[in-house]
Amino acid sequence: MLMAGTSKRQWVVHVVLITMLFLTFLPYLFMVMTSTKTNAQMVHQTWIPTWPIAWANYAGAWGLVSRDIVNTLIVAGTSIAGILTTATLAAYAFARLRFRGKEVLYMLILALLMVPSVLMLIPLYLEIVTMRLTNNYFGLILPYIAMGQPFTILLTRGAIATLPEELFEAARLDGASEWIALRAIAVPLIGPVLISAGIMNFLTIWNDYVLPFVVMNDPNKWTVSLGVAQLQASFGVTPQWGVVFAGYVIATIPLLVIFVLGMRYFVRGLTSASLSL
Amino acid sequence: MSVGEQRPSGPAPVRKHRSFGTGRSYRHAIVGYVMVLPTMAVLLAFMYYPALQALTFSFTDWNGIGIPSFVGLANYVSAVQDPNFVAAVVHVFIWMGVGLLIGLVPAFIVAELIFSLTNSRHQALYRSLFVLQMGIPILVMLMMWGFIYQPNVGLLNSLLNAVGLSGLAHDWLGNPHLALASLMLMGLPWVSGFNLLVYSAGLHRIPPEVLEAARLDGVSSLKRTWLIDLPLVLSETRTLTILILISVVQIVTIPLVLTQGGPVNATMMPGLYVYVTAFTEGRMAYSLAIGSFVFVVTMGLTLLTFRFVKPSTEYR
Repeated sequence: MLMAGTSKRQWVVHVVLITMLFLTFLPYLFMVMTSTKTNAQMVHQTWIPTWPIAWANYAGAWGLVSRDIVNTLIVAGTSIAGILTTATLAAYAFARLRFRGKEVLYMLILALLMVPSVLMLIPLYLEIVTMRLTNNYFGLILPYIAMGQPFTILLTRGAIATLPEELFEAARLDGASEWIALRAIAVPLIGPVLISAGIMNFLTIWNDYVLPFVVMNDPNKWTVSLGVAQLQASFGVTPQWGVVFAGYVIATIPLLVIFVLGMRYFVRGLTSASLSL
Repeated sequence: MSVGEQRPSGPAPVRKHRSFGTGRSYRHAIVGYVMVLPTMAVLLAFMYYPALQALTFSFTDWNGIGIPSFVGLANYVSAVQDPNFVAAVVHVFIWMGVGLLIGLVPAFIVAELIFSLTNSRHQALYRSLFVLQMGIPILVMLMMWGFIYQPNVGLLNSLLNAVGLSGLAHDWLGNPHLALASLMLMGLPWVSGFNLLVYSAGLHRIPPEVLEAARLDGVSSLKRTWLIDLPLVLSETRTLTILILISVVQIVTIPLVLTQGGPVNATMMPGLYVYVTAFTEGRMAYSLAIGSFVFVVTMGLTLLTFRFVKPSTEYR
């Protein structure tokens, strides 16, 4: 009796959870379904899959968003390499070395977590204009490297601080410099945290809209967010919805793939960081 | 680095050296500064400098090019008297309330539902599937919801027409009475992957003995959720509250791409107003004053939340 009651309740929970999942992903299921339709198919059979599949939508959409995707990958790749290198160096110093003013510097960096990016938008934009970096990848890369520092240092400093001191002591006794200790001991051991920090920064950069919106006027330099936002408008008054949605699907794939590949590390890294707030 | 080799020998220099501490910590200090240098350089150029410039130039009449002259609190005074800004502040407080409700409640309920599953592999699977949302670009999410709300071919109106409720069909983003609510309520059923993860981690930190004792005493799961789980995930609620409030104060992109703050300011937000006053009206110093307001509110909220929601029931 008790078992039957428990398993019945378990089934109810499954049904509720699956319903919630279905509702959550409904817009995207619709997006994928409609991306294979012509406008006529969409209007007449809105809610069901149709035949034949309009593959031409994907060819058309690829022409519209591929440039934006490549731009974003260049910007994100360079930025993340910069963020991880500089933040790991700083995190090692904050976690493992003693020097005057360390605590003050660390608090100064963490305080930036409270500074809203919209506050800095205008001065940053004018700075980029002064440096003649508008419509230039570095007009995004340099600010992104800066913006990624506080959270990445928070994550990596925590990870390096939990490594046992004996490891580093042994290396120092063997005559290794701090640089070798960092590269040969700390970096390999905090690999998962670096992956999760990389993914977190990739999400932020892929999703950013406002900074590229003011820095990149040239459509050839647009990032994926700008491309996605303009896709529907690029058709004027009668959008080909199938092509628009195919473009959204193409814009989703790189982020989704990278997110799924690193989700395990990302989940672990992010929850531990948020709990230590 | 060969700092050690350059150390001079002899009694007097050794005393001088001791004032730095031991040999290792002296070497530490130099290496430490060198390691922190790249970070500080890039932060100085692209965060501290623009942030300081924003805060200081908000007290001037700067228009972006000319030499600024000090005007005291004039920009802040005109902000308080600016009906657009006041509307934006009202909207931000409404959005905070709604955002907390739909950000915390569904995530906590789903976390409890997943936690109540006896099979831990099922638990992990459901969690991963909800977290998968984070792999969808925000702009794709926004554009899809823009399409759902679209008056002619949009999904919501199509659905209402299909079930014979065409009287309820609206121009969801074009109607000033509905636009703000439509934006706030995007993302039904509002089970944020991140918030769910945080609550799940919190529930898993509750000591098994506590749950076992509750079970032996015959406490119903609803009562246990309310009396045991909810107080014990207070620190998670605190963290999420800060994060939600901060993200609402900083909203720019959502109204910028979907409504441009309209119709007639119905969806104007402080963050968006920073953008509008600077880039479409060219009032730089005024815009910076509003940005500073957003900054002060963000900081105040963080400190307030830390003060009032004390994590008194934490297990550490």
